Amino acid sequence: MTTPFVPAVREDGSFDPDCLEQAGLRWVTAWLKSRFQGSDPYFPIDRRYGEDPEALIVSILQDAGLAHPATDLIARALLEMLDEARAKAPEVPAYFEPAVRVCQRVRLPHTGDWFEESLKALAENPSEEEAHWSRKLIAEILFAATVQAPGLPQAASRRNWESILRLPNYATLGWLGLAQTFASAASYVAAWWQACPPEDRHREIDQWIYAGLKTETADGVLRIVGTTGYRWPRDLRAAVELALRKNGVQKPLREFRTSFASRRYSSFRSPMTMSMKLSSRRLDMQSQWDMNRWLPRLAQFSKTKSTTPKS
Amino acid sequence: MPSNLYRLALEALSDDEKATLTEFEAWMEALRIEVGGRKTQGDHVLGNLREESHLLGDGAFGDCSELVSFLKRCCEEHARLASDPERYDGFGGACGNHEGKGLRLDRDRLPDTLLRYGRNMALFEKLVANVLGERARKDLINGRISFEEAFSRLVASWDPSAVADHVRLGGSTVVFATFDHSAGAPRSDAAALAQALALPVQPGRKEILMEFTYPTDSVANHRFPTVADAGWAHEFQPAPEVAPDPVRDETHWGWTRPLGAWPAQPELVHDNQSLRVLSAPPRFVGRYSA
Repeated sequence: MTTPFVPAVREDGSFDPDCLEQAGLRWVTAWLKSRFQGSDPYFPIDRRYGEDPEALIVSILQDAGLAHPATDLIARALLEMLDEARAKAPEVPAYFEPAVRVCQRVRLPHTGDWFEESLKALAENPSEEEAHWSRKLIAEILFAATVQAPGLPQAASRRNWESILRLPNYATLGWLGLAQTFASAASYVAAWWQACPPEDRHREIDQWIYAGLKTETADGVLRIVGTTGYRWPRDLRAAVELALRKNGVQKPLREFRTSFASRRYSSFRSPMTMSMKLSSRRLDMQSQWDMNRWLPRLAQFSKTKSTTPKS
Repeated sequence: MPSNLYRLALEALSDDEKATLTEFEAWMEALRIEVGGRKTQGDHVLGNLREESHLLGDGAFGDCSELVSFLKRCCEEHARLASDPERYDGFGGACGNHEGKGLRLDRDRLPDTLLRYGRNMALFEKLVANVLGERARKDLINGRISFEEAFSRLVASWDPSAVADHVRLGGSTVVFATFDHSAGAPRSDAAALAQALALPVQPGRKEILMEFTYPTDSVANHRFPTVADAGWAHEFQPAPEVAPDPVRDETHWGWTRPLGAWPAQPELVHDNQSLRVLSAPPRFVGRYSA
């Protein structure tokens, strides 16, 4: 071989990111392009059983960390590829999708602006953007943008994410872009529900609740759902209740409404809202609909309380 | 030992082409790149190329025209390109051009169900996105749910009609497949199965192995796997130079060259297809590493 640079590995056989400092941007870009197109003499890709070309790059980046010079170099090479692909679109170079998939997995320096531009273009003119890329590629780009340009409260991308949240084809990705935690997702779930195609709604709610129960516990989920859920449309609340039951929260309705009832009055918005105080527990109802559902139960509850002997 | 087909193909080349082929063979024989235990062994790939006897296209057994065309393409690429990495790519390109051109298999000899093993995480993530939704894919990547959890939820919600057309068995025009056979296979042990299938273990990396099951008739163009299908995978083994024999089942498809003491596995290629064809949810075989 007459190649001027050959990547090095550590004793355990894993890639040594330090070696890339000697490689230079030109070599890294050429290596990544070639690898993403299925050819890598240094780390051969086995075409027989569908090896991911980008998996090695993701593991190098995760191993090196954000501050490592190799990460900087790889990020700049990826940015070059993204820029080149944008200029070529609607023609799609073979390296483009693997490059985007790297961006979906690892937060990188330098790439944020590229994804913010994509978000802006889609938010301002979805049909033009769909003509530029395909709908499938836009979804992949948006998925990467949830990592590279998330819609954090102070972020420039936030307004664009809010527009994307209202686009049916990308509403779920908009929801993911705006909300990084279970609690922040609760703030956007109603807007997402309105825009999301009906056939996708239940599986997304189910996954949201499933993962929420893992990260927040059942009490945490019920508390968060309770503080925002009273504003949701009825079918969304029903979907959340169903997902809670499906994921093992045994008394979803009662728990949901108990936490629902314990929120502050100041959070009320509807003029139809009224509150009642009964046996030191506050039960709040946001609408006549809720009241009609609850009145018979309250009466039953009141009757039960009055017949229960005091301890 | 070169196959008769290879010898015939050599005879069919012009003198100039023969000279270029000699250069190409010398280059390939000397090509050996080893980075951290991962090897590109040109001498093994060349050995396989010389043993090839089933790269026949639609010709009859012993017809060398397809192999001649492949060798000519290899020579052209070699002559056109100057550096080693370019020539490495050039051979890959020649292989890509002759994928799925092994001898056609007799469908009646094949079982009704095929198996394909995959270790492509991106493919799994696409399946998760299609079946469980984008949030599940995000949770999987973020580590909010484990791979095993995602797999179990995928199986519980499995709906092949939810899988997009572009989510396919593999990334190439044709894909490798195998099937159950009498010698058996360690199908519950990822490391052992990877060895039986001659899948190299990547140093420093943890691999996953998934099993896809689908009807044989749901995919087209069943063929012997050839050196062109395997590309630079030197672990590949071309089928022995024996014409399909009605009384010898083992001559009706290719066989892996296992990396360990496991039985060789039957091997074929067929056209790529959407994962909608799966007749059962994907099965997680397990994880393995070096």
